[in-house]
Amino acid sequence: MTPPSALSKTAPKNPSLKISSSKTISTKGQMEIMGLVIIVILITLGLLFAALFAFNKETQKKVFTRKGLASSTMSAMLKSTVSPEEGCVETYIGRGNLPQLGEDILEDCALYFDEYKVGETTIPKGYSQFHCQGVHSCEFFKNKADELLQQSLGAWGKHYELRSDFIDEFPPPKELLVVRDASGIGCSGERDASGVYPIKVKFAGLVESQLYVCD
Amino acid sequence: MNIIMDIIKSVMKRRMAFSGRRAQVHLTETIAILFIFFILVGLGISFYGKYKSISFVEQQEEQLQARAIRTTLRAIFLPELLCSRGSAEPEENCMDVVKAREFSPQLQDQFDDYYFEMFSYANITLQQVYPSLEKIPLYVHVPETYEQRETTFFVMALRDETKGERGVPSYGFGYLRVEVFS
Repeated sequence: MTPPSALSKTAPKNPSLKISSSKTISTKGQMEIMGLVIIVILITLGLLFAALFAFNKETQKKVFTRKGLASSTMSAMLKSTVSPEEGCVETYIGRGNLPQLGEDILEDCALYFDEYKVGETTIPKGYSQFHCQGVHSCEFFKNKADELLQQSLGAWGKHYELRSDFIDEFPPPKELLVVRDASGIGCSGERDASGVYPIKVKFAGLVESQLYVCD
Repeated sequence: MNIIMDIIKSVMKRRMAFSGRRAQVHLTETIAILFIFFILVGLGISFYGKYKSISFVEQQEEQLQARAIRTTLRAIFLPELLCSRGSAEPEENCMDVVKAREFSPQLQDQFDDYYFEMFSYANITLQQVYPSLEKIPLYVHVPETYEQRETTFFVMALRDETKGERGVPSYGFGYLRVEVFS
């Protein structure tokens, strides 16, 4: 770090000595630049490690909670039976007053989906085998799922998205319903899925439901 | 002769003064470098200390979270509360509400050591959301003072044989709330 003015003052008048002194200056400069480069590399590495530690940390509990929640919520919801207070009227003899949300209501929704949605128009009171609260099975399932999810996942500040598709012999699959959290955003980014829950529909096909949960 | 000697002396003096200034410059440089070096070392030590204290707190939190998971899993698979089906495998994600209602903290008092060894300090509650709101406390052991509390939820189907029809039990929708303390 010797000032150049001082170096020029001490530089000898002999040309051969001049060359050697300029060589010394350039070597010193190179050394200083190398030192700077090493410092910059070290600082960059430190920042990189700090960033890795800060941003790439997903706790064990977070993963357990989300994965477990999605699957258990879906399983519990589809297994739940509709309370007799909902006034479910069934056209044919079946489960009577205790239809299951999954096996009965959702299956019924798939069977009579054409009575619920005609083109882009939704008919909430369209015909279906089960008529709970006086509405079509699809409408009832949608409302009930929304209510249950809001009281559980929604109350814990989780975002969610429930999708049910009906797969029959005529592709593409029909989108039966989509239920999203109160914000309406659902889960588009990082999310955990419950896995596909299939329900066989009598002589018609399959209903595949999946719940996505995200923070 | 004297004149020559004077000239030599003045040249020597100037050279001495110049080399003294160079040494001063070098010394200042060295002091500055050392100063910066010690500042960097100090910053490094303070950052490391901060990181260590934060990682210690994080480690404590992780341990508590791991305990919350263990406690939740134990509660979910508690044979006393599972939806059993005779000798067949019990139903998944299901708890028997009738059993849960009888599994009161009063009953546990008789087996306090057994359940405390299993759950330690925790508060486990079964909350039914549908068809009706009902809160069933399963295990209550809250310490008088605690530093941290970790809550975990797990959604479950709640079987109720008393509300079934034609041999078909009723299934409600609810969740298990597990709080652990440290």
